[in-house]
Amino acid sequence: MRTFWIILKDSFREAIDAKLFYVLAGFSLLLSVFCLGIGFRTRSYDEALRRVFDESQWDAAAFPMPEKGGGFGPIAPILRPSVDSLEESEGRYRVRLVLEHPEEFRAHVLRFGVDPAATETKSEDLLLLEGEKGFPSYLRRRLVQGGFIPSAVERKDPTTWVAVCKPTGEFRTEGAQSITWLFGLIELPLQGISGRNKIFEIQAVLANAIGGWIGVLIAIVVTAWFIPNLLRKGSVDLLLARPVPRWRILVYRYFGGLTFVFLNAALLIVGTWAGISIGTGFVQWGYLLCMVTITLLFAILYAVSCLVAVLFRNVVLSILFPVAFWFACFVITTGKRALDSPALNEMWDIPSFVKKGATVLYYIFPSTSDIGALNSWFMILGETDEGTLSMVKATLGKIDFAGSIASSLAFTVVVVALAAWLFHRRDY
Amino acid sequence: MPDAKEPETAVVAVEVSKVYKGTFRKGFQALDRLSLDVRRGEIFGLLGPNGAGKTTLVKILLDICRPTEGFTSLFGLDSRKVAARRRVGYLPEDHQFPGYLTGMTALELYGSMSGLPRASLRERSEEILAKVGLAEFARVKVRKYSKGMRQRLGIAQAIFHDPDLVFLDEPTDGVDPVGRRSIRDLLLELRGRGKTVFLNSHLLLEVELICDRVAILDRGRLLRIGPVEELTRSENEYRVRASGAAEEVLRIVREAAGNGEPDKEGVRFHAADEAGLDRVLDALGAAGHRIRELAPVKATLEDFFIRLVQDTRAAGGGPPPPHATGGPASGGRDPKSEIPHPRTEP
Repeated sequence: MRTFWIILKDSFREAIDAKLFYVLAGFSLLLSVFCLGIGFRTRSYDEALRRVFDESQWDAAAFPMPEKGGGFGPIAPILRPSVDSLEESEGRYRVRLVLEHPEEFRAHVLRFGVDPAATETKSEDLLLLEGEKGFPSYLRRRLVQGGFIPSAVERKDPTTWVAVCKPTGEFRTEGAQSITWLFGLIELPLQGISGRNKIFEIQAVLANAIGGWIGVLIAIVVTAWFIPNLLRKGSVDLLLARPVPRWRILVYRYFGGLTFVFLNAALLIVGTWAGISIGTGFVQWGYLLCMVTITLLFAILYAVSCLVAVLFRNVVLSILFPVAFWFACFVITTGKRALDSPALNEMWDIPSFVKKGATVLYYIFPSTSDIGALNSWFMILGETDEGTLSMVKATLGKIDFAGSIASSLAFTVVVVALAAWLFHRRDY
Repeated sequence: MPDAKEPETAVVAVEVSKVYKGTFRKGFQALDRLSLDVRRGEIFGLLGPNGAGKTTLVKILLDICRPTEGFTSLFGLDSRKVAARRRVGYLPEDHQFPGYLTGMTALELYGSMSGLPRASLRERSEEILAKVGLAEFARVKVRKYSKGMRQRLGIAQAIFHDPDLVFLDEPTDGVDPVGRRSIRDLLLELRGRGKTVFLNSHLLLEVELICDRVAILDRGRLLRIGPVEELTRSENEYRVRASGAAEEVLRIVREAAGNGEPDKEGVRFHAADEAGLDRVLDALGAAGHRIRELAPVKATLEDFFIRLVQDTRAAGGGPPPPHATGGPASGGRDPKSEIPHPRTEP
């Protein structure tokens, strides 16, 4: 165990000497301050309620359709209800909505949304569909997301609906609050079905784009020097002459790289989490788990980097190979998802051996895209809103996360073991 | 101090061969059935031109590379075992310390990996750095060190954990004369404390000064092994200094002895016996030259080494030269060109 700490300490010395640790830490700190400045500005109830039915909001949101597979239909932009009148009486609001293009909407639903063979409803009037997929139910959900409790949603005529509701006092919603930055100085032009959803989007950018993509890429470049430097002629001899098994030197060095990245990921995630929590009041514990996901993604790529370093002792190759491998994994995962999608299967008759081949590759190679998507699952843990929850479930619901993580971990262990075995066998 | 129950030999190599196999190139034989042993408490010198296999042998002894055939042990333990390296220190040739380490942290890193207790690291590193003259540079990054300073740090890390056996590959490379002297003193001090030193060096004078025994390698084969005195013993060579023109004296010596070479102080020649010696003296006397000095010449290790290597090669000994081959030990150079000239080495 002592050797582990010694090598870990040495890895940190190397990383800190390159000044990149400070650069990355500084970047994380900057982002944390950025997040600390994020907040909400409360709107009036009147303004908030109008925003619930604002056309742009309807465009941004998708209307769940009783289509094949039960996903989201591409019809929200066509629905376009507008607020005809808004009256306030004893704390209750009466909103009169007018659907501007009901026929277009109906035609669209019939054409794209409904599979007559699959759906149980025989109703001609799709706007009257009951249950989760019906329009009245959707209207109610929108009002809840907007911070209002609906007491009645009625259809007055084929194009006019009336909803009665009252504000909940819950201001963490899209309609009731706008999102601001720099401690209220700038209003961010973020679209979202709720305030929580906007925070979700910001966290997704931080965890997936900044941490899981840019951060991992930088980490690959920084840590790619570790093993080739260790194996440099004249340097490796100093280590191999010690009474320490070779495999330990390599594996511990690998963990040194992982720890370096984990600490950086922790700085980024904990810092931004604290910033967002303090600034907005949203305390989303699940977001903290993203530091593990980022490290896991890096662990896969760093294992490839280590193997290449042992084989070639070349820094450039130790950077290029994992990046190319990452891209290959992305292609495999995306290809597998595409081959599984009903749309593609309807368009083409894909041979079964292609599907089987894609499945085999999917389970042999690590599913880096799935691991990135795991962040979204973590981010909806705890306090979340209905819309975000449905959106994440609809997007990621079919991913076999357990299988992806298991195959990725197995791949990483095999590659690191192979690198250690080669390191053990080679003459230096 | 070494345990009395331990074997008398610190290092044993039995029939060790090493062939570096190239994927697209012909293999290179770095060592060819080499056997030797190093006794505990001695300073052992390993000599040979570049590409002779010296570094390969040391690396095999430390399990840094593996022999194709043969067996090696350190203090009776198979050198492939991790435990065999517990009592060993090593200074590699052309070693490179990571630039981010300071003298102090380098010693602490390598000392820790050699099993030195954490509590004694700081104190011990200050002591050793002072010993090699780097005390005031203890907290300076190694990348700022001069070549000589790095070499001294290399020696420091090799002896830091007080090993019983120290392998030093070209320890005085890049070190100034004063530094060389202190390194020699350090090695003698180690021997005085019962430590075994295995020295790889091109500097034959240095080896001659401090080594108890030496082995000479060429092209992977052991040419000779023995005590320095035995190898440098005079071989009926004499130097004569006489009055008169130097060219004339040289001519007469050559005629009488059948050989002779001028040197700074007179003429050196071989005489197989006393009769041969008398013939030279009589010839000089008959020509009217007065004998001013006649003395036996003691061969230097350098002379012996060069003669041995050249004679062996002239006789066709050793494996084929590694011109068209590769491998870490060869460096692709012609070993002949690496034989040090007697007058170029100090």
